[in-house]
Amino acid sequence: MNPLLSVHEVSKQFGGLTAVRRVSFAVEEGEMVGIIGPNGAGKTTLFHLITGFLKPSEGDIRFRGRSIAGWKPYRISRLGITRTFQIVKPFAHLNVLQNVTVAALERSATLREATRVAEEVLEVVGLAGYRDHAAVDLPIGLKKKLELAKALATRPALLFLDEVMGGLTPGEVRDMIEVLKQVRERGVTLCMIEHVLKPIFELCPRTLVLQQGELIADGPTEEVMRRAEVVEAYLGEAISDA
Amino acid sequence: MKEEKGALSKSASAVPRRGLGWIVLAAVLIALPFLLQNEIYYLDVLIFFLLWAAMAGAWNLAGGYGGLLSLGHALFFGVGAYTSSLLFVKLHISPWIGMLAGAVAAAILGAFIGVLTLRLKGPFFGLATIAFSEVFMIIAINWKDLTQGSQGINIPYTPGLANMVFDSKIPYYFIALALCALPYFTAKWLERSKFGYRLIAVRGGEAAAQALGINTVAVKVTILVISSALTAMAGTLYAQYIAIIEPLHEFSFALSVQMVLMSMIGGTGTASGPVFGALVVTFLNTVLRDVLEGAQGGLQAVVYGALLVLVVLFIPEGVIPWAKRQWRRLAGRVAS
Repeated sequence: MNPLLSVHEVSKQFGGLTAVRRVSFAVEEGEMVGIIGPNGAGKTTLFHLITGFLKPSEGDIRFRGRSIAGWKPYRISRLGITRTFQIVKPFAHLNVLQNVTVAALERSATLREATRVAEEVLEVVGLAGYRDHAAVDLPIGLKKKLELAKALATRPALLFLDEVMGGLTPGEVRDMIEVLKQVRERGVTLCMIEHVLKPIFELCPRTLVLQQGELIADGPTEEVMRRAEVVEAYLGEAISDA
Repeated sequence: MKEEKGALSKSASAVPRRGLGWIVLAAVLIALPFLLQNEIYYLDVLIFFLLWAAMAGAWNLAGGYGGLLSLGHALFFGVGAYTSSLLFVKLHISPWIGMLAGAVAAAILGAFIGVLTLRLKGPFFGLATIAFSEVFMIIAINWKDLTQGSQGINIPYTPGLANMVFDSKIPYYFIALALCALPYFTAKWLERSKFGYRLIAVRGGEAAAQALGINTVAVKVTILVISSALTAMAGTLYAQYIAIIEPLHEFSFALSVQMVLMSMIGGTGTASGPVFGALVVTFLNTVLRDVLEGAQGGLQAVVYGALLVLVVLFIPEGVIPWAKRQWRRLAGRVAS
């Protein structure tokens, strides 16, 4: 059987700069995969390529055996691949419930049905108490949850999370990890970019490491984290940050 | 954090009172022209107010709800006016049919401009609308055989329902009222339909909307088509009422800007905003005409400009959303 997602020799060039270089990997149904790497390693670009926000310069991307490389984002989303954005920007002019309702529209016959789906999802992520609040006024921790709720309301088979833990307090991270465990139990396959490693250790049995656009490691999380080039990649970043 | 109803949804408890309000409003709107029957001047002002509200309301569907900042909506107005007038004068086709023909022509034009520019990011759409209205103005001026150039087209005075020419102002009033109601109720529909939710989402963030499966280009083109068609219908009524159309006015940038201004003053992306904006502008126009009798038109523009600056500086969301917020705050204070 085909894997849920297979990325084959995908590259992306911006002018002379290669942001992603011949990256290949596959994701099986039900997996939880962590994606790590220093800033500028090409993690977000890879997400853009898979979800249609950028077209690959080379290579192929298949979802359930069907090539989706170069498809428009909305078509990919309707197929069952959804993403969150690193910089969360809820729809202005809409409250929390309405924001999530929008996400449920494409798979709902009526606005009423979409609203019901949205209410359920708000319950799952723990935002039910904020349903009538202006989405743009939420604090960052809740905005991240809203972002996740919107992605979930599309009822995805495969969900790409771009730093949903970024900017959260340790307590909020705890909370988000619990929510993601529930999401996994609902049968959603997850790929998550994270800078914070704790959630990766806790949630993802498998981790990919990107560095300068190349996939330098792919394997069981514990093992990958110990490998010399990974430590080096991270140490390199640590020094440049200082 | 404040409770926010957002652009959508209303609380159910307000419905009976609201229903009564609608009945009273309808009665007033129906009685008004008959009460003003002998006050031709004020009836004329009223018709213009409704016509402005219709145009601003039509602009607001795309410009407000859809966030498509069109600066050339006079294009659609002019296409509506010219289509029905030419069909009427040259081919003796009833302006009622001409109004629909104009709406269809404007819709096609809107779709064309939309498909061409709405997949691009940046200011291309707004610039394209200006360019297209300028082009159509030049065509209307120079294609003299068809349009009689800057001389314009006269609508012959042949009263009759089929000709949409009347010897009383009252029928014009009711047509204008209907054209004003059309964008208003379209806006209300947007606030509780799947399409409207998609549209408001696209306005709030295009990439985010796409990630959720929304075909953003299709949504934007659709609202532009609706907005163009409704603007064109106002154009036809204008031509029939004034009985003369000329390219320098019908396709003018000033006219386009007027639609934007009225929506901004009242509040873009709200159903009643453009109506209120039209009311303010009509009122100012009338008062200024009385006060500044004989003064040049430039002074009116100065007053408009000052008004817009004040609104943008102090209540950028527009008067209606601002007033609603104040009202809610006041109501909340009374309740607690």
